[in-house]
Amino acid sequence: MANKIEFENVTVKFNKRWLALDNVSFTVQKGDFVFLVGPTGAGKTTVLRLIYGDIMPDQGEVRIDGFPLKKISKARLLELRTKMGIVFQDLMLLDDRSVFENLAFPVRLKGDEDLMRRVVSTLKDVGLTHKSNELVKSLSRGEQQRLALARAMINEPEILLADEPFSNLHKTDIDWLIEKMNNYNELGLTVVLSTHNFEVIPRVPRARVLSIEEGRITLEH
Amino acid sequence: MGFILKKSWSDFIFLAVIYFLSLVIFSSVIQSYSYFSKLLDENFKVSYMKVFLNDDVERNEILILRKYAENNPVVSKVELISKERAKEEFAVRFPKYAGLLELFPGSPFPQNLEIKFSENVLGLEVIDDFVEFYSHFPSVTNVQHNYASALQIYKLKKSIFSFGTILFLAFLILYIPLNLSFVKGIFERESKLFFLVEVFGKSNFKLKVTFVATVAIPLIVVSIINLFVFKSLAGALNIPLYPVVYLMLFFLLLQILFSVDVLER
Repeated sequence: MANKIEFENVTVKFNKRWLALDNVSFTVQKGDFVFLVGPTGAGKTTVLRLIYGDIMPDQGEVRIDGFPLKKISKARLLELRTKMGIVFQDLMLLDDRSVFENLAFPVRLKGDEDLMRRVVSTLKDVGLTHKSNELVKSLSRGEQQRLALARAMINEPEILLADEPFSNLHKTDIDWLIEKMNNYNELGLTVVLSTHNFEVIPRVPRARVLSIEEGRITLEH
Repeated sequence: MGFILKKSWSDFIFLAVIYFLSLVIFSSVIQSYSYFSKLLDENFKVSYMKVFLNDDVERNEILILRKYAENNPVVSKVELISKERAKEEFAVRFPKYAGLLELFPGSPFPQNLEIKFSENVLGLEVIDDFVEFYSHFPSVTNVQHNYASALQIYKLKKSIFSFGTILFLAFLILYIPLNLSFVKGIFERESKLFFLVEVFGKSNFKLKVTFVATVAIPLIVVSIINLFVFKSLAGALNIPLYPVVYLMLFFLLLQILFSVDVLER
């Protein structure tokens, strides 16, 4: 179970100089929907990277289900990551492979024998069944974003981390995405989402908002 | 894992073509060098010079011309060939045309000084000295030697050697960045894959092993080419092989260090 995320006095410096996060503390409970808002360079992506253990804090602790990420083994960290679905800001899709192959990739890595059923049902869920054999580079930005979300969700994670998922999207695509994430959250998924698009916040009335500026949490409600 | 190998196929083809062409060029250069070296040796083994003289040349002058040759350590034999002997030699060498000689009263051939050189006389400038010396005498009508062709071969051999050396140095300097760009190319293209594998909770150790194996193949190919080239060079230049093997191993080590550096980054 990877449900509770705790940040305790977390400080991160890049190149030992630039202060990306400064003494940040907060807790995300199971089933929370958290918006990380703030201007570009505020430290939102750094928070997400800390959660999936891509970087470690210089000071303080990041704990997942009570386990401090700094102290756990690489194998345990990789195991924790299987409970997370991640949508990257630059999507990180395999551009020279088809939509189907992009979705099949994490399922294959997991060793799930029911690959076909899982991929087909996920494609249907995000409305990309008709694009199944197309290469990612031929998709629109909105379709690519749907695919990125589908890939993050295909292994049924317990936490969804999404970094600026609404960037460069049309309003219809934004509406579809936020609705989808809201639905997943209603089913019990913990969502931590970074954005500088404040318009989406009222779409999830129960969501908590953490406002970050210059590496500090300036507002929490 | 096979995905990386499959996607790197075009790089393999590119590298294979480059290395194959290099191999063909180096082989041709070494073969040509060996061929001309052999040809040059054969030419020098039967090296001679003929100094043709006027019919009215005085005995004292012949003596001076003869002494000059005899006093030179590279000369093994000096012989005055009279007009009659020149006629006889022609008849022996070209019996089909011996009848033609009956048309002439006496011998149509000039007397000449035949100078034979020691074997393996490599100083071509010695021949130039001889030619220049004899050309100052009015009784000398012509100087012929078989060094003209040898000189051409010698120049050609030197050019081939210079060309081969420059080419090989260029290859040594270029092959490291060439292989490095190949390594970087694969890594940059597949870095997303490396990252995603870990994001989805799997170790990318096997992927790294595949990557290193992919990098090692051109490395081995280049090392084999180098060994072949070095071995041939050592043979052609008549030097021991072990220093060049060390040199090859040094380049191999450099390449490995560069490849590991790419992975580390």
